[in-house]
Amino acid sequence: MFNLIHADLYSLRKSNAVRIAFCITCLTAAAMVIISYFMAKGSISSEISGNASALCDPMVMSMVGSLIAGIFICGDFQNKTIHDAIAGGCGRSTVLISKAISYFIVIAVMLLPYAIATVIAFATGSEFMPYLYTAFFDILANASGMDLTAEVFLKITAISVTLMIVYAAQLSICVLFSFLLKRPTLVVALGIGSIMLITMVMGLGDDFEIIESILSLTPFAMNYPTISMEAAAGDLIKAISSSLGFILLILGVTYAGFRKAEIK
Amino acid sequence: MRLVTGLSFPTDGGIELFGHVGERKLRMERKRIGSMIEYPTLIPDMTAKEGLRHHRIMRGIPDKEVEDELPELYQTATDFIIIHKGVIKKILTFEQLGEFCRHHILIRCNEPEKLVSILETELKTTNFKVMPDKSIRLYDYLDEVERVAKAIFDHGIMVTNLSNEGDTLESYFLSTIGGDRNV
Repeated sequence: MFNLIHADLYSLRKSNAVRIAFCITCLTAAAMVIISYFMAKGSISSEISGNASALCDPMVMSMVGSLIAGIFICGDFQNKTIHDAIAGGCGRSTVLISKAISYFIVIAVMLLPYAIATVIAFATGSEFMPYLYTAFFDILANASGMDLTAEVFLKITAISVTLMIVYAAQLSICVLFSFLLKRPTLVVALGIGSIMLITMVMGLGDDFEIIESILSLTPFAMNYPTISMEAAAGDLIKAISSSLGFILLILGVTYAGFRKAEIK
Repeated sequence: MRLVTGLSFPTDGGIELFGHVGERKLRMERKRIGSMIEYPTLIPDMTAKEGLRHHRIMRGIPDKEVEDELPELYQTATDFIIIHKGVIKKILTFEQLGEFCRHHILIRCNEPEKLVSILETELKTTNFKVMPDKSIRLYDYLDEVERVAKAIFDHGIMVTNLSNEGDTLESYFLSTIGGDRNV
């Protein structure tokens, strides 16, 4: 399995699409912080917050994550890398788990610019206006007026790592789509569509209480306010365990579909 | 082949590989097989050598030197067939392939005989070839095109083409199949 992960990371490192996606997350992270800064100063009207929300991590990660799943996993079906792994004696479960781990590592790397931009912005001590309810904006808002001490830095790191796991869990549905559909366009469309749909259903709140209570146990409910600067260690552990459970569930379903599937 | 390599599953009957049966043992025995079904694995954004490295890593082969055996294999072949998507695009000998891929300065002019004389007397080289269309392929001075141009210009020859030509094996393959968009 380590060989497969190593090979996957090597091919991802060579992929122009992944490099471009990383550049996009770097740019959007920087833009998010800059817009938030100028909004706080009053130089930019808060009316653009609707459009600017497209630069925030929930929107960008759902798009970039779905895109990478389409290119990386479906691409490996198309260029026969998965065929070679299986013909070379790797089990289907090994292929699935190694692909999922490589994919989650890339997701973590894609979120890294947001974490770094947030830490740098936090360290400046400037005022920022949160125009969307996200964990990174909660850190930026710095409602308690904290300084960047070692303890605060560790807390931000813990929040960032938790968010990486949460996003990996949310985007694990793209792994399911990729292994079952094997078509990049379908995976990208379904990935973005389903994440948006679930977010919308959660936003409806009171009207769908049962659905909302079920979804509250999934990683889709594990951004703000569960993860924030006020979150205790227990909250972060709850988010991580819920995400890991969701990943296991999705990978189990994926394996059930992929175990005896013919690979064309 | 697809059944043996585990890409499909039999609806009836069983598979025995090197005397072993059972899914777990079959997987182990598949490690002894080298196979390429229908199409080779070509990964976008990777050169042929990087693709080879990817497969070396994937198969857990620690010896990095195997990556350098690709050019050696290429040199032991006597005839080459360029196949793309199941269609034979070109058949050529090792010498022909070498000629196509060898880097050179391609010169076209109005007085090829005079140019040959200049190459031999002034630039002191016989490492060139006059082609049937009277163009000249110069295999020396690849990094000194300006010096070649000056020598030709000083003797009043009218040049219609002076360019560096030649391919790597990989770029020749791509040009034969119509560019990397078709890979």
